[in-house]
Amino acid sequence: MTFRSPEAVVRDLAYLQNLGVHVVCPSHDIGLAGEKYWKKLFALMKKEQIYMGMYLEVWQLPDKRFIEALADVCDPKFTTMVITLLSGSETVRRKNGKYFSNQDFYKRVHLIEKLHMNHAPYFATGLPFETVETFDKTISMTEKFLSQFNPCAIFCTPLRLDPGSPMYEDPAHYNIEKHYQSFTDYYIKCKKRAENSPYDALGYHTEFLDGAAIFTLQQKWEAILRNHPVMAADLLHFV
Amino acid sequence: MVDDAKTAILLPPLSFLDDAPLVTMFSRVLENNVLVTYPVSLYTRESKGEMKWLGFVYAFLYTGKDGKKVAHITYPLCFDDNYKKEIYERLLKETEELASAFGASRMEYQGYQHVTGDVFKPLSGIKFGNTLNADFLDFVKEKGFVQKEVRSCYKVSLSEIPEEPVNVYTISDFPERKQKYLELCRVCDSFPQLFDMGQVSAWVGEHFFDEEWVIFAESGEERGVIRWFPQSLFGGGRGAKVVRLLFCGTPQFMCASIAQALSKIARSGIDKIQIADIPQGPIENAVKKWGWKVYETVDMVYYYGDI
Repeated sequence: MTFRSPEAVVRDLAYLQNLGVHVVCPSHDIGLAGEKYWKKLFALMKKEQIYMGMYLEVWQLPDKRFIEALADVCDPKFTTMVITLLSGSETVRRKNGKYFSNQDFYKRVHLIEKLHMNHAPYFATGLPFETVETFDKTISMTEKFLSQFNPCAIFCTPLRLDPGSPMYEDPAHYNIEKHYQSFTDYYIKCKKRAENSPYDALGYHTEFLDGAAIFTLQQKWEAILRNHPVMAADLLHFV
Repeated sequence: MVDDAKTAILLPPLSFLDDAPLVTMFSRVLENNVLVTYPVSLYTRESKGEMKWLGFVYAFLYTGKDGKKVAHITYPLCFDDNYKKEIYERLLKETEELASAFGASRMEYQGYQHVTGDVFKPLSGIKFGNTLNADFLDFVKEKGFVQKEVRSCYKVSLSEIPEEPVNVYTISDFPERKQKYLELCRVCDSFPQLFDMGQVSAWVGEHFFDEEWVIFAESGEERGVIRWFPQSLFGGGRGAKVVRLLFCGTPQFMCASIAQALSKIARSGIDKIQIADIPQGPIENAVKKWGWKVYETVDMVYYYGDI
């Protein structure tokens, strides 16, 4: 992956700030470009007096220095970190390429809240290696998160098998069964969707979960949110 | 230039909003699924689309405790002093249109006068915030707004505060704290907005609503709450600002509760306290013995038709 130079990014940010934009969403996690890159980017933002909010979807668990630097360079109240946990099960999470523990995650979220930034965890249903039992850990983590933290949003969505993705390219490694094999399969799926006809949204099933089971888990998760609304509007104009 | 300027529901750059420390990217109020908060920006665009900011006002619509609909103006800003009057005229006109669409019976603006020193944050008990703007206060007076109420903010000397036999306490459980606070907002006349407690369950979180920052007081049937903010939250020192006083009880109870709450705040390492929201009368007479006045807020109202 090639990142644009910090100078080019800062030029765009200055342009957007002048247009009146308050929050920018980078297309990729700038943490992935490495510490040297984001330090230079943040230094240039300061130099050019850019002070905006940022909506940042992070690939792995960001470290403490990155979080503190982000809160320093961006307006924290207009900044959101979306952290992709995938699963409440550390084992399932690790097998799906996210290398951090629940304990470390909670520590970072405490730090984000302390710095008055917004945050949103991102879970998924239908992960390879997920079972009904491991998904219970996602449920209990969601409940804990809603009762002990103050997320601005919380996400959990089923995966879709994208052509070219690791799951598509190496289904044996992930123990999944592909339903779509060719361009024609995807074309037919899109055509059915456009015609409002029933179609296979997921395009795969796993060793432990078929499509129906995945949607059952999704509904189970959504039921929690009905009782714990997040992103509800304020009621009052006065403190 | 102002005639050709556009208005939009848009915040100006955040650096222009120093006195809006409680604003977040999710700050908006919905009433019956309708947005009732309007950050109104007045601007033109340069040839490459660059914004030239002319003015800003934050308007919001709510139902008052008297059941009447209200349009409230706050945070008036002018970015071009050459066209100040025209800019304010235009912003007021925009707000009047919102008020008319809402069926408001009055329009309000809370201004500041007799400012004598540094003002702690947040300046206002209005969630969005407010800013010192003597010109806009003069402007609304010219437009026929009348003065309704004056409240004061005092800087108090902690050594002057007496000990009083009132039970003040905090509540560690967030839902319980929130419920009790909202109940006092609902029943105390000094909280202006009418709202449905049934919607409380949908009110998820609140920035800066930590346990120690919401101090409750009780004595027999009398009760109240004091809400304050440490200045360290906003990059300040060891000061504190009391922003909201909600009480159901006698002035004596209120004075005693305030004294106890201030002592409690002082014990948490705070060395300077400003206390706002003080009504004229016996409460102010008591507080003025503890310190000196920093500013007055003056509630200006414009009534539409019969009231």
